[in-house]
Amino acid sequence: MKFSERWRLAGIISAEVRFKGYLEMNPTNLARVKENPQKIARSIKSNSRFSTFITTALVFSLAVLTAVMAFVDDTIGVPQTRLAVGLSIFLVLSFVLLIFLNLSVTTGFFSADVISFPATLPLSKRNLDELSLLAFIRVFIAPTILILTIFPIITLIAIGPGPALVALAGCAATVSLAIGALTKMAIWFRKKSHQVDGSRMNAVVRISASLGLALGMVVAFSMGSWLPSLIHFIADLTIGMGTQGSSLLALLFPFSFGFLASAIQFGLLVPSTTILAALGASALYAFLAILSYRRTGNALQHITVGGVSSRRTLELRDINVNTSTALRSIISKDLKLATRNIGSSFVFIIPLFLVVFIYPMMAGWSQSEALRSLTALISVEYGNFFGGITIISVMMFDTQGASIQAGLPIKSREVLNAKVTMAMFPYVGSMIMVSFLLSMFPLTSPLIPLIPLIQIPCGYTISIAVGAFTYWKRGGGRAVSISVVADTGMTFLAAVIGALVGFVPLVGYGVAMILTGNHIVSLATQSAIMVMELILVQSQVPKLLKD
Amino acid sequence: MRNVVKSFGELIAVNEVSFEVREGEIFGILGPNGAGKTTAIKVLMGLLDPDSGSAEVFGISSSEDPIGVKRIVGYVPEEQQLYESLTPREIFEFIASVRELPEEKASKRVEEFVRALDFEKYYDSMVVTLSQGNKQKALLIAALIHKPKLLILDEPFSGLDVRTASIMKDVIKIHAENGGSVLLSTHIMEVAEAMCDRVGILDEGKLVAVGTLEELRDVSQREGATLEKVFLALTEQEDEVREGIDQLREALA
Repeated sequence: MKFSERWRLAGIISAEVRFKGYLEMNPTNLARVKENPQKIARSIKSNSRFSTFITTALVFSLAVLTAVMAFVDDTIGVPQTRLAVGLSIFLVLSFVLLIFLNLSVTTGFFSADVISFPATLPLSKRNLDELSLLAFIRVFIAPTILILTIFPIITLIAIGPGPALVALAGCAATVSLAIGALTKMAIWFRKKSHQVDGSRMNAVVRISASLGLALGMVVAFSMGSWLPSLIHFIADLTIGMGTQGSSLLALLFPFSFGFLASAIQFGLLVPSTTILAALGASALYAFLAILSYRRTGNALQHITVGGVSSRRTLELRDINVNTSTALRSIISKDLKLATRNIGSSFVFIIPLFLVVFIYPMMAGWSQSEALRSLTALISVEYGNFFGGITIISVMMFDTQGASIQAGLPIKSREVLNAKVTMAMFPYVGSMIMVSFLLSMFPLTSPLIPLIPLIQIPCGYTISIAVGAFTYWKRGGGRAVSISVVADTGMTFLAAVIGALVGFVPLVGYGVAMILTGNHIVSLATQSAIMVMELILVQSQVPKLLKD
Repeated sequence: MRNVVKSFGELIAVNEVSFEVREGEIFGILGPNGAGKTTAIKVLMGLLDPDSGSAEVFGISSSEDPIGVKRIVGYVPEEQQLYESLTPREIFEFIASVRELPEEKASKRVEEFVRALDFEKYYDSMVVTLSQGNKQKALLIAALIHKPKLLILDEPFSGLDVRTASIMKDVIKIHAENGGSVLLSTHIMEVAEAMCDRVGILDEGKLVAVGTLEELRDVSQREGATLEKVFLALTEQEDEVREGIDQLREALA
């Protein structure tokens, strides 16, 4: 078989891999793929394009931003430290980006049947092995090419061929090690998320893994806003540690490549022990990268044909049924579903996402003057916006179990109550986080951190209002589930309603502040309006629901 | 079900359909794909509101008290949309809790079904790892866990292996023998012929005929014919099928 034919076939397989990965991330689509496959396919296509665009933009902006800081910004240490730290930071970020932006696709790759159709064609085993490897390469080709080219080219133009060559070697080693780590992580995660042995430890590992991975993705997407501070911090640290410290740092991946590039450019301006450490460590990491490439290829060929084993590890347990109340059982079921799926576990890191989002805003505003209540109101309003999305995300869990839900005697109100309870956790967490962040900065009044804390009950009002409206709009009042990804219109509407409902008590605070200039009166007004709004929403909800 | 009409936009999915399922009988709804079987069942379950007409189960109105209907019905829908990342144990615990079943009773009943269906090995495995047959077994146990008076099965034999299909048939028969009623929708004529006490033939949303096999033979004037022949005659598809076979014969020659 010609290479061009194998490449084309690998493209078809990698498209299937993306499809599987997408379904893995979005349980709603798993259940609905039969009902409306065209819509799902379109959604996957646009999601895939968006993902490629985001990855490209992220890698490009990171490369340019790091290069500018490393080669142009005079405020960071001496030139040799700038180059060493700049290249190293770019490699670290590329490593993190490659892992967290491709985890879902890689997990999809391990669905054993991606190679099952080509296996029915008259192809040799060697051809099939090559196909699986090529398909995997095609999935990563865009970010890999970007990482391998942009930063080394900028280095070549800005500094010269020597450091550019080291940058290229460092990028290649990073890509290879990242893909190796990603493969191992994806296999481990798939095993953990598909294994149930009943032990608490396994559940803890699963929950931690889901939250860690979800958080990693958030961090990967928000790297740009943290990059300048990170480079300053590492550069200051390197200078502060002196020769011994920098030599020690040069032993670590990927700093060895950074210091090696610096040594090639600046010669003996870099201490000789650091040069030796960087040279030895770089050779070692290059060797490990080659080893990782070979092992990943072998593991991949094995897995794509055989799949990842997720067989149970414990003996059979007693066949008994433990019951609880309907509300608790729905919450318990939803918690299990959320922690066994990376996509679903995003709901629980919304408070951290909010922190990543609003911290730079508060930090920026606090540089010129003490933060006013307006900062708190804006931050809380962000939380309200996410509150609307949270409840609809929690409602998404049920699409998997439509066959079970359809036959169960549960009132729509009971389902909604369970979902609202779940959605309250991220909202409460968000408000506490906002309050905590505010208290870290100078404020015009010590009462300002109370604004988000007083707003906490409004999470219930937002959730119940958005939930009931969604049931009414999409299910004629019956409990339904919505896909945050596939039904973007409804998701947007939910976010807007959440923002509007949560906005009302804040307006009360604002108006009272303008009229009286008194924080206590303003907080009391916020509380009073919130209670009135809650009573109003509670009275209207039954009109929207139907069993 | 009395004179039920249900349409989706221009399409009339169920058109003036009336039938009843008697206590202790297995009643089959037969029809080709898209005939309206699933829509009729969803109206009966209270999952869809009829445009006109009414449906009730043991005197409980499906549209006015769907929760009451679901309390006494065990329902196995056509699609196997189970919670993929839960285990059957976790699903049965969820169902027993929502149905407010006593823990001891629920455990005993689930254990009996799990052992009878040879399902122990899969009891703690995630649903995503189960075969289609085992998923169907899980759905069947889920539907029977509360001893329903009426068991509604929508195309329960699609894609099942011989062994699982045979078990399913036995479960249905035993349920009826114990006084329970069964409403079964299928397009497999042999199954309906072998299992159902009475059948209703649904075609393009209309109930063409209802009765025992003998009664349907009389209506279709096909003495001694199989249910398949009777079905084709009543739905006026005999000529279409003959033409299709002739074309196939030419294509395959």
